[in-house]
Amino acid sequence: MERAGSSRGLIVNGQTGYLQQSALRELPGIQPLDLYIVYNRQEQPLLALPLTGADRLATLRSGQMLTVTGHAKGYYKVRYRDVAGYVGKSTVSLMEQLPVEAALVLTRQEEALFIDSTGNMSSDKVLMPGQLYKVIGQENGYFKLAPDGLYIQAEVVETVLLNPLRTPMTGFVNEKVPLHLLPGSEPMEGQLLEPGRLYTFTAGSGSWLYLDEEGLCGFADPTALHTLPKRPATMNRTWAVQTGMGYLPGSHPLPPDDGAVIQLKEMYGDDWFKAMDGRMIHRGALRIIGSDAPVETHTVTATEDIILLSLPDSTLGEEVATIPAGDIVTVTGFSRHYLLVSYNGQEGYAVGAPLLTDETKYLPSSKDDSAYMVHVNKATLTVSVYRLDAEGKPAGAPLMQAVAALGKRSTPTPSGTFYLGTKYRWVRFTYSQTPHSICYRPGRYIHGLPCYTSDIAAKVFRTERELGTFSSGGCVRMPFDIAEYIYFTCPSYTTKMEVTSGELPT
Amino acid sequence: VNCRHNTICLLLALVLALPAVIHAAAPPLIAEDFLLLIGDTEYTFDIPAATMVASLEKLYETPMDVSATASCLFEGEDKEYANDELLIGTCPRGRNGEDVVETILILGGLWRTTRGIGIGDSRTRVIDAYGEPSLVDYDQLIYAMGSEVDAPQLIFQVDLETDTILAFALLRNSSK
Repeated sequence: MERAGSSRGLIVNGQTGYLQQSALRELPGIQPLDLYIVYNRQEQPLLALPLTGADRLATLRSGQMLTVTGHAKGYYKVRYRDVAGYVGKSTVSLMEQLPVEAALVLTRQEEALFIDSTGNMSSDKVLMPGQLYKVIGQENGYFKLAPDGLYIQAEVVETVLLNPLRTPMTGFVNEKVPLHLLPGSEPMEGQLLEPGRLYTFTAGSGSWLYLDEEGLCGFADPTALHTLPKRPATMNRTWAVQTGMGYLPGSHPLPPDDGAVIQLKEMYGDDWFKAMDGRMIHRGALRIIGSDAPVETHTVTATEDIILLSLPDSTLGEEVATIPAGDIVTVTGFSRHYLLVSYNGQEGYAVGAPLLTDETKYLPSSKDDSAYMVHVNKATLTVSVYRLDAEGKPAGAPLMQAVAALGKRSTPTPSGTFYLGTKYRWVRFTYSQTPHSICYRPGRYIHGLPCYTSDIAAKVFRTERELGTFSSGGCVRMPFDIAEYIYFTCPSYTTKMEVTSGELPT
Repeated sequence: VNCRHNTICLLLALVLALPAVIHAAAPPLIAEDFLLLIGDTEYTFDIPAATMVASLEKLYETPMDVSATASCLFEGEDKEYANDELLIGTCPRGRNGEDVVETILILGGLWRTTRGIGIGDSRTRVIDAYGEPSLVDYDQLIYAMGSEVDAPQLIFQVDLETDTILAFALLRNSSK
């Protein structure tokens, strides 16, 4: 308005007043430009004025196309859909500089596709609304799209920019999780991630992960995904039959191989196993036959003729040899109710009952397909072993129970559910070693009392007195007998250990 | 537990008591949730234990009690430095086997998490700040930063009679 001395009249929100001229800055004039298209490089507001802090007219996503209509100092005047506003010049790039291999487009309504980038030659195809299309090139303000190599006018589509992940992320879900057309948009119908399989993500937009494989295309909410652990747990030699789909890196599905027996070598988290050929298999797509655990190597004389099998299973195992009564065998381990023995240079599995010694006294005397559970109660500092019923609940009283030493305050025994993992006859620690040790998470074991040597007669001074206290580094430290019982009775990789601060939840 | 340094603790609390972030869905744990501010220095896991213990001893003007046991995970000894209000657990996993911070356990005083939760606060306030726990184990609300088994954890111990926080712990949850 009018000047009054060094002040100037103003109307702000309908009110009239005066401000010192020196406190005012004139907005830069807008210079018109021939129309051209830029893409937005970052999430930012479309501003009402070429000024920091100006009103936000809309929120622009990274990758969105904007038509430049003018410029003013550090700002472009742009048109986004039907809204005109301003963005900083440094926040956009020429469409020619768009990394097309990382761009996706979609529309809200059907749009014509063209045979070339002049826009004069229509094809008989259209861009379907609500679907993502990969950009494979761009020229003259048009995008060239997969899979047909047809062109769409850049101004009529929305663009999403993908950022390639430094390393592909392999993940899985524990329940069905929908994909989204865009990060944060409503979930899509019929586009579901399913439990029991692996998905490999190679790109994302913001924190959302992009998937395009086997009929699935869209964005996954990262909070609903579980990442496959980077470091697997090593396993005792474990035999299994694949009953469902497996996946090679890149998540190509591999159907089961007609009941063939495979060997598992690594465990990833609780539910995924890697076979010797590299395939990943969910525990729900496996039947574990048995896994070897070591015993102190010793010799036994066979008291009857014994058949040596190639596997710890009378149906799946082939006969390797017959050990005549009176011959001596070397016992090195066990699996289920079989002992792993060497005889005449051959290794195999022999039913253990006729070969038992003090070292193997807790080996199941016959085939036992029961499931077991180990319960660690931090409130009572006890360990209990249960046989489970058909519903997976403890059946009756504990088979064995004892007082244990658990993790001290700074290294508490973690609460939760764990699978019993790799078994070690002895695990060495800094100043001691522990018998009948079973790993339940990396570096943590349930085990017998620590000993100075690999002899339970040399148990660590005062270690027995620590039973019933919080004194371990997170391990579950138990009397020798129950540790040995669990070692022989509870199969690895299928037996759960529940650690609670009270009774088991009903 | 009485704070013998009420003034200092109050200042600490003022600095540490960033307002609890109250969202419909509280954001998941991030590395910053495992910081403890002593004076104007931030401490967290894997830093040399000696510096943190020295800062605490200076703050409380009293040496901390120390105990050691053989480490299960690493060569050497785990140590616990404790006073009435804090316990710092260390393990010898530094580059040259030096002791680094593994656990920060708050047992008393005016210490607060970076989202403003301290002893005496209600369970509701914890849920507002951190969302639903990854696991509830009897009287413990357990939050994990990620789904891996050795993800760092923030654990609140709840007094079940008053439904208020008795203690809380920042656990590095190291694996071998």
